[in-house]
Amino acid sequence: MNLDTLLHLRTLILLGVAVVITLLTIRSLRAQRLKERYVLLLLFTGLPFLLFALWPNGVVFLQNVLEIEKPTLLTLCVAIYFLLTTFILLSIVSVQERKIDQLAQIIAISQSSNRSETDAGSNAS
Amino acid sequence: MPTDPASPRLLIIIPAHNEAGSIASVVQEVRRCLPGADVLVVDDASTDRTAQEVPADAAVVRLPFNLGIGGAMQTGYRYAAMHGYDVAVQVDGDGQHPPAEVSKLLDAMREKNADLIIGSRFLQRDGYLPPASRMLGIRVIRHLINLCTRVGITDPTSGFRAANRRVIHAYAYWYPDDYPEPEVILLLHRAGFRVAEASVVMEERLAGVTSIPFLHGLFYVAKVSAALLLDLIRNPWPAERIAPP
Repeated sequence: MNLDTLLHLRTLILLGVAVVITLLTIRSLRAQRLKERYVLLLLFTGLPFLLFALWPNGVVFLQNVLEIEKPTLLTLCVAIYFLLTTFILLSIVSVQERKIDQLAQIIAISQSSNRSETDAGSNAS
Repeated sequence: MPTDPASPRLLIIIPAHNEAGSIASVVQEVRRCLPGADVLVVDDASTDRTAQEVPADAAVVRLPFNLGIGGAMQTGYRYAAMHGYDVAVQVDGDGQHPPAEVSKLLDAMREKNADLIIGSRFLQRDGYLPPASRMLGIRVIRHLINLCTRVGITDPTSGFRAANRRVIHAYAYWYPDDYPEPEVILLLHRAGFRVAEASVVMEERLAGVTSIPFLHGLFYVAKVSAALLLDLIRNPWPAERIAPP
């Protein structure tokens, strides 16, 4: 494969990752499986992928600026892996956090009602 | 409780976090101005004596850990839904929302046949107004909301609000965590609820510190704007899940 083909392939891969992450986060937000703050985090984390997809030479530019010898695809793959892992973990955290909050609210309301009943009982006696 | 069976059952919800210095006077003022209403203080895991300072004739819900303003308010609305209240009014525990102004919210709710009434400081511009820097942030959020809803809200960050039974049940089902005041306007409008405003006068806080420090204001506006854009693609209140019993 020549260099142009490789560049196009990289653009497609990066665009694909950007689109998949965006769709996954939006779908999870609509289904209440991901909290808003994590959606924002993931969308902002995914922005570099979109940037490099639209500007493939950006990786080379960064290589020159940061004086890294080789901008390897492996680095990108590792980044994508961590991004997806983070996404899954944040989805779990979001759902569990909401459940814990609900539980805390219900317990607090129940304790308040019990206190009121106890007070009413002691006043009556 | 109101003795007239035609009167709506009214609950005043006061979220409080470390408001020991002002909570007693706020509750007493509510009691004096609204003798027919029930009062609920939601103590969001205060580290001071907030819960102990609440007068005995008000109910207190003490959260076991800090849930933030969204979680504390949802607790109040969940309580209102569980106990069958018709209207719930949100009044800050720092004394900024004069209880005497609650009647304006209730009148506007009746006259405008609205599901949610927001007390606006800017319709008549009387009383305490926020500093210029904060006004700028409010203006940005206001334009963004009005661009999306065309409702013409002037005070989207005001926490002085009255909600009817439909909204109480919607909030009990789901309520935003991070930036509830501006977000619910957009979300309620998209879900088909009627949102309107009433002119109210607010006061300076009696004690405590604001939950949005000055230096975080710019960051707050950016985050709220991003959150509002996300709100355009979701509907957290499916009609079949939030109908009052």
